[in-house]
Amino acid sequence: MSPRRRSFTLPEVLDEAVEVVAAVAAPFIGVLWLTSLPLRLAQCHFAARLLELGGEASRHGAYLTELALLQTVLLVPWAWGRAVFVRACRLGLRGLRPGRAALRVGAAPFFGYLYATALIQTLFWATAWMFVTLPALVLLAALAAATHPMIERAGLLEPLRQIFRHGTHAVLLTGLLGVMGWAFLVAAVNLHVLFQAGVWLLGAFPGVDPGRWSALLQPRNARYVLALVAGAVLVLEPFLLAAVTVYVHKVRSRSSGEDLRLWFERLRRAVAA
Amino acid sequence: MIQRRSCAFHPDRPGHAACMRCRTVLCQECAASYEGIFYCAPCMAARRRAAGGPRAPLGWAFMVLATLLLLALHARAAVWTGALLAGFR
Repeated sequence: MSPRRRSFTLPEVLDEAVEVVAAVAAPFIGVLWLTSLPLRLAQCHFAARLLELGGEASRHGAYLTELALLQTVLLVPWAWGRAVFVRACRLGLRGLRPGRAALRVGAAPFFGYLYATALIQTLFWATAWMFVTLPALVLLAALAAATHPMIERAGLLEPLRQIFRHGTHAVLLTGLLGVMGWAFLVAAVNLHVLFQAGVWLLGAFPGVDPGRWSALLQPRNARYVLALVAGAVLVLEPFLLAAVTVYVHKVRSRSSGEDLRLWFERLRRAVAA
Repeated sequence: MIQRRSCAFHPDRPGHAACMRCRTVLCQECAASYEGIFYCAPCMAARRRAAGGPRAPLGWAFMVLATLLLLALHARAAVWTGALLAGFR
């Protein structure tokens, strides 16, 4: 009986993702955060204004459209930052040092990814009132980023084909989403504790009134809660992207036999040693 | 079936794979894999040229138009859903 080819597991993907993030952190997490931060701030402001307007929001369509258009424009640098980060992760996975090569995102892959992003983000907003679709769309957005380097030609179906070709391990991807959901909560709570510790430390400086900051940095302040959510998303974004990139790399390695070749190389090195 | 055991481009190196298009024997360095299929460099280049061939301008036009349309729709969807959710509050 021939031995069964071992599949990869979620802990393996997460372990490798953490290693990849550590390897490409400087400067590519910086690039990712610099390109993500404007979009996250615009989203926070949009949501805060909606909360403030409440039932009156429908009467301020023109103003809200301006804010929404700002988010739409900021999607472009955000998508580029994610594309660069994924390329850096892929180079790191091959054992190469990601330098300027990571910045060279091809035209067809980038515009294909931008098209997929526009589609997913539109679906995100169109179905946001249902809530249940949101985690699936977050995962699809990460898969779109991780599979964009495989887009070879411009077309409407190619980016979607790449996403669905690689999104085959549903259980593993659902597990990854669950882990990221918990990590999101933990990151948000940690950020809150960090802010409270900062306010407490402010009291040590003479002339600084921590009471004002303490009143602002409370969960009853909607803008503060939105900032915490944005902060947690920023912290987790590199790990989610790296994990999905590792997953795509493993799926491709298995289909091309690259995993067997690497395993054989390891065995040969072990025998030689 | 691989007839020659050495790489067509590096005769001193052993054959590792055969190009699935022209059947040239390739060493590990020369074998370029795409979707699990090995190609030699000229065949891979030909494949790339074919991928960006006559249909490419049409593909680009459709993709750019669809992206612009979706981005405009994104802004509208954000306002509609945002106003709807804010109204529930």
